Amino acid sequence: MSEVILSATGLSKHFVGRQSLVSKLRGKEPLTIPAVDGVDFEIHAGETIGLVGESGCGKSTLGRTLVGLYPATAGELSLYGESIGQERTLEQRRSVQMIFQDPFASLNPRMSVGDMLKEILLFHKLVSKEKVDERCKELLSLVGLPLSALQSFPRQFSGGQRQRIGIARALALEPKILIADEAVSALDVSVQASIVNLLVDLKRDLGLTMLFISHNIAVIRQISDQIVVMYLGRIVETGPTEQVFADPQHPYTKLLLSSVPKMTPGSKLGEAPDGELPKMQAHFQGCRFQSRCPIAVESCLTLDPELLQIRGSHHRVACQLVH
Amino acid sequence: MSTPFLSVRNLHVDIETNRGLLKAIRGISLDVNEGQSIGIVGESGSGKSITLKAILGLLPKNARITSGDIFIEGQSLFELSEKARRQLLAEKIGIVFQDAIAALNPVLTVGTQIAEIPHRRMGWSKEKSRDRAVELMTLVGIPEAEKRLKVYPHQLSGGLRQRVAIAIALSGNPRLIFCDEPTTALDVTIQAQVLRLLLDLRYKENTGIVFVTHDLAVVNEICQEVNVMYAGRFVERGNVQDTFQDPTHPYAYSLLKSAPDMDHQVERLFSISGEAPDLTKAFVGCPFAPRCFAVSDLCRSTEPDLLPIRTSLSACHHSQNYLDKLSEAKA
Repeated sequence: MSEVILSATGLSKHFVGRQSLVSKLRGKEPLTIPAVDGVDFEIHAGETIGLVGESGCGKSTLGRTLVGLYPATAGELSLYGESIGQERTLEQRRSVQMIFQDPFASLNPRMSVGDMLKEILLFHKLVSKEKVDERCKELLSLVGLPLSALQSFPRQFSGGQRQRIGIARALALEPKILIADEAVSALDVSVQASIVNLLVDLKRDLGLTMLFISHNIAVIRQISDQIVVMYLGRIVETGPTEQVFADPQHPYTKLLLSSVPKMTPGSKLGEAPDGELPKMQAHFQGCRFQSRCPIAVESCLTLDPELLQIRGSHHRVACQLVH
Repeated sequence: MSTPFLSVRNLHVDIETNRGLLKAIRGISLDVNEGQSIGIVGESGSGKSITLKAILGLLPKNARITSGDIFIEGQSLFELSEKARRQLLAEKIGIVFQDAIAALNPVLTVGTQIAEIPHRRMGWSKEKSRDRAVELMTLVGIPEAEKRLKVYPHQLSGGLRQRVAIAIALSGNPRLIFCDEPTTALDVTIQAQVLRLLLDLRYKENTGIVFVTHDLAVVNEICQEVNVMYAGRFVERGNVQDTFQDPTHPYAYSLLKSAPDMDHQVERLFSISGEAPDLTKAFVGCPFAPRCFAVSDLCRSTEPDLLPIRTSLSACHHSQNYLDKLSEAKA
């Protein structure tokens, strides 16, 4: 396997609710939401990892914690084997970049595309002032935008084009890892296809490493080499995409994959089991999925399953009934 | 053939915008029979939602129907008085919107909202309407319905809210439900539950469904007929199985190819170049011509009509040609 770029050990991000003075004086514990709760994983160079799960399972929080938008509550994050502290260096910030979901909200409406790119290129001293225009043009052609875009403002572009601007902005810093949080979810299918293709091309041409977060499992299947399935702040299954899709092990992965509508002609909707994502709790006892699990046994109520390898492969599952 | 339950004839809708008059719907016809499930797919701005709104008389103030006719069980809606029309629609057609939190009234309990149509429109007593509300909530799979009558929409999860919206749509015993992207905002697991519910209702009560969505896979799984909409017109209509197997219109083909499939990984997704035409500007020829892979001079001068081909209807000058090539390529 190729070099490990980013690794997380026991990474957690807990959100602590605000508390009234009265409840503080009464000595009550504040409400804690463990959005990401002890997650271990590695991202290897040149890999695209697809992160899936229902809304509220901690996908976006994990992505934002990796970029540094949220400080981690606990756990270790390291980039090229070097630990990342609370305060990231400029170099570390540059290495991990993000593309956001909403191409309308994530671009400054008062800055032209050229100014936007120039600002970050010059701030990070990636090119000299004389060469900055040239580099901007390179970036635009990389993401398939016309050079005239440099003088234009975000409002003059369609949703798909704005997402391309977002990608150009992230690529300007020559990141080691690109985190795409629902980057194609707000787009129509034909536009979505062109952005997915662009990301696949960039990955091939630039050797880009990517964490692709999406609730759209069909897109994840298309784009990822590895897949990570999250449930209530934990990773429940991870492995090579083909293997996980062909032979899902965790009951949650099975539920998720069987719920996706298919394009195959003649495919008909199957049974849909009841139940929905339970509320996040400060402390869970036993397996987090047991309330919805069709195969849960008594020990699932008490035993918190670990993410373990199966059959010596890279496929890992957190379910005691699988091992 | 018997009279279809709902029949739309050559409907045109214009919208007044600050960029000029937008021809949102440019002559569409649609028949829905009792108990049939029909999907309408297309990209944003193709006119899917406006079609539903035009039929229900829910168009925004700046939009109006300029020509065409709409019939329910043979009765033209435009021949009725405003009051009679609303009464007829309330009794015959229910609607479920995408965003349940916006569709539900935040200051009324869900029980009050579900009982509203039985109580107000059908003149039932308060107690009877309330019992009906409990019955409907049980039908749509809301656990502890009796207790939940008194909760407000914000106290429910997204899936339950959408179930409440469906219960409201069903409260007038409609023969047809319009669904405007009802599952787009939901997680796949909850989406599967809601779709299952709609299908079960169709089997049990023979309620027809018109399902508007941009998610092709959903239409594939729950509808019998699919209508592909582009630039305010239907460009292809056919039964779902045939159309998903061998689409006859280049746009339908492109759309189907560009959607990633959960069952297969492909080298590259098919992508459609260019953008949909601006409907505030006049254009000649086929609206899809600038983006089409099978375009010819004829396409640039004459807009094709929706004509029968094989088991489908297609609005393309070259459908026959294109199908021949496709079968050649297969052979």
